[in-house]
Amino acid sequence: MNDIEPHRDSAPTDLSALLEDAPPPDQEARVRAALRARGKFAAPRAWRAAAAAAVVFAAGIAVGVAWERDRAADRSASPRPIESGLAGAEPAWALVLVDGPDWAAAADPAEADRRVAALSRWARRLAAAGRLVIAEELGPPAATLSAEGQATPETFGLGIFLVRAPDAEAAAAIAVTSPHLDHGGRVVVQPVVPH
Amino acid sequence: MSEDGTLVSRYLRSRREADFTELYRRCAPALWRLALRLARGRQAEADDLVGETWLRAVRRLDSFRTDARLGPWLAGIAWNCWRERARRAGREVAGVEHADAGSLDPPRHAEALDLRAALDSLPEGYRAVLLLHDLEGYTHAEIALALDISPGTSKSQLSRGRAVLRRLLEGPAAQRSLRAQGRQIR
Repeated sequence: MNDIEPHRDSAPTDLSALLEDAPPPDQEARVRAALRARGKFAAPRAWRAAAAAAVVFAAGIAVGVAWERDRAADRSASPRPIESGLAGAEPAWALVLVDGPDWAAAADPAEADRRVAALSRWARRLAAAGRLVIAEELGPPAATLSAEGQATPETFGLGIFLVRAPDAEAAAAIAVTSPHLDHGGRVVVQPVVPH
Repeated sequence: MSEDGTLVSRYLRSRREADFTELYRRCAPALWRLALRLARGRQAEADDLVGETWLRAVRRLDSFRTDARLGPWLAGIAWNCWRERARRAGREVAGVEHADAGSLDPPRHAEALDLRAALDSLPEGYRAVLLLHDLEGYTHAEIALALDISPGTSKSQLSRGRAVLRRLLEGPAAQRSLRAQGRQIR
């Protein structure tokens, strides 16, 4: 039997130096993102607080439609070639609200409501300025695929605001006013390519 | 119901990310320490192991006994994930009960090893039991459940693991004696 004097050596070993080995700082965010991508969490209250969230997006859509109608009237007064549903005098830009760790950690209902209210005010301001075309909430990814099969996204869009702006600089100037930035989120500005 | 059980039940009811986060933060340090030592200090491998453990744990969370502690339960999942990875990679996987000084990965250092290097040179079974008992403070009953062994095996492997570790930390003379013992039993 390979018994190496267990009784003489049975005193506990001091392993306390290993307590210094802390997990990588971004591990929590990655684990949570992987679980989120697999639908293991209920939708964040910020988006699920349906009444308030619906106001944001419905208002955005309604105003956007009205704004589009005005634009259409302009076009009928001065005919332009119809290129697509988003064709217009000014280019369209997608402002994609991207997840950030602080945003994802917003679980306190009161804080979530405050964030929704801030987004709602932002949407109304954009609409009033004639900038907002449409706003939509995006759910967690249903699937993320790569050539190797399922992949795990580290971040994904939470919402999309389609706005009109003459150029990228103007679109970015709109994006920096998003309250999403105040909570650790990011806003990605992408042009809508006309066809 | 244990404190962990209460948190698990709350997450299962709400599925809120914040409730999961509370569970995660409670267990993350110990799970990381186990993963890091199973992976012999290779951070990327330990990181993958932690991720896989949590994915599997959340899928099975409704089978967690709410009077138990979550740490040992997660350790068991991590241990199984680790062994499955080893099998997939074609590495030899010895059960805890088969760990002995004969399967010691012989240290090549001329001097006494530091704690991490000494631990990493131990057979996996010794390493896991030592960490879970002497560092994390889990009971033999909890370790037995986690590693799918008997409490008696947990006790004997702890005792042997401590002995081997101590000699590795003592220096070359003790290491030579240890290797000699390892050769005798082969």
